[in-house]
Amino acid sequence: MAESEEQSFARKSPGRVTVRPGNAAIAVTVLLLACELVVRGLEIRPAVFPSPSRVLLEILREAPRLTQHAWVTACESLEGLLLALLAGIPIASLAAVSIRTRRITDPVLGILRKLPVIAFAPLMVIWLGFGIPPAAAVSFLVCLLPIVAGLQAGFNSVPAGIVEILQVMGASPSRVFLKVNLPACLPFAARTLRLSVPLAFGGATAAEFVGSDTGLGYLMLYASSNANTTRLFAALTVLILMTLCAYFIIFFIERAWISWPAEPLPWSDFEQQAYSNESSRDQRL
Amino acid sequence: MSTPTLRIQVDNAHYVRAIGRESQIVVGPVSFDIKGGEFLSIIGPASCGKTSLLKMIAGILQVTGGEIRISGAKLNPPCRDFGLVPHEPALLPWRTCMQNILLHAEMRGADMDLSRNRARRLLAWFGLSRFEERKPHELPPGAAQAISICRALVHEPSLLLMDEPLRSLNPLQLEQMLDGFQRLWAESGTTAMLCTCNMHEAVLLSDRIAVMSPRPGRILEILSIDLPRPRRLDKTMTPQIADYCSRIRTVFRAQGILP
Repeated sequence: MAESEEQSFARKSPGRVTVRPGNAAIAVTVLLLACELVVRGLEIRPAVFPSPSRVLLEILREAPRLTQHAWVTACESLEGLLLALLAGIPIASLAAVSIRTRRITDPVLGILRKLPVIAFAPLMVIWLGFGIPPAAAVSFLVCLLPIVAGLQAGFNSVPAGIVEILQVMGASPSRVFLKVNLPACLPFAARTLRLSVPLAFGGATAAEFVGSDTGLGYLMLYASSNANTTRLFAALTVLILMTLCAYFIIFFIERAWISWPAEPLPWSDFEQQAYSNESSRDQRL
Repeated sequence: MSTPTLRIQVDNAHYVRAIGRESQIVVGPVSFDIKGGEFLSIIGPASCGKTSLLKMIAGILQVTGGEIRISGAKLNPPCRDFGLVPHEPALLPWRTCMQNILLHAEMRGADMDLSRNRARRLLAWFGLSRFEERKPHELPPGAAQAISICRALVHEPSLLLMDEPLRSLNPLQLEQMLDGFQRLWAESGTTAMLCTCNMHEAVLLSDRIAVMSPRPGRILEILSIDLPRPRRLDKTMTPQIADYCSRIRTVFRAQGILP
């Protein structure tokens, strides 16, 4: 009785919806079945739209090749993501600590955000050669901004007044960062990483379109030029499944480790965010 | 426990804040003192500089001019054994209530077992023992502020500084807290300073009340409250409390803050 009473005090954390994997599985199955029926019923040619069963057969038949190319794409994307995280952590933590750094990083990142980063893929091919390096570079460029923005918001999502309390306790700025800013950033880091996964895979694939002889992007481009729609669909399906897999792995780690509610991610404009944070910062100081 | 020798002297202290090219006087100059074991309240209109004054005494804000002395010594860096209760609970959401309360012990490397026992006593005092291992988002409304007060009291501070800690409570919770807090304060014997906008709260809790003017905040009058403790809003005491409140109102009326 007392237990349930206490439970009722727990307010539902914002932005968190109960995940029901069963429902999702049913929805996907129904959609695929409908797709199969429509394609068969209207006798749509496989060259235009292959039925899901045909795509599944193609995936099974081409499994070794698909796995080999998928592995390449996965490596490129995750390399890019990891590099973006490695670069993002120092940038975001510096920006969180010193307002001077922010005055430099925010405009740069703000401009970078307005550029169509994927369009740099051909340039990356010229600079970094053929194959894996340019793909990793594009996936890095695509992920860097959201990761820095998310981490920065995370480092700054500190309960009002706690910094002063710690000052009165005699904590040094580095101690405050370690005890307050860093843990405050964790849920944001997990979420930004999770939301960057599709970007990373998309970026890597786009770079493979431009200049590569391996990876799912290359396979898709090749299938497209041969008008092999079924193979194109097979490669696309593998890419989607891989993205979802990476997304949900991070999601489950996040759910297991982070048991407190955090503010929703602000994917707002960099400059706006900078202004609002600066004013609140001044008040705090 | 208490340090009766502690004495806070605020001597002509003022604080000027630079906003762009202009500078604005936020507080002062103000002069007053807080005796050891005394409960002093600062009451004034919103944004009159109460919080800045409190932060100056805590050592978070540097005084622009004048001086603040703690037991005769000049205050410079933040004083480590003060307790601070901000107007928001400011609990760390990833820590349990107990870990939040033990923050001070952790920062100063104090004896954890001793602090934990004190924290348990304080939690029991507020009737929140069962929330010891809960995270702040699982607390009932209003309890977070009690945890914040526990965190400020766990190391038996020589001075407890409170910045409108009770402003987010509803009237019933406020009355409960006022009653509970008076007894807790009497037991701990700590010197305390409270910033508030609530006259009843100030009269119920304080030995003396400093009434502040609108920005730049100056002290208009210091009232001594000669009422026996514990003070309650009951039949016998309400007229006297109302009397003190009307004295505060008179000061505010003279300033045009109240009609």
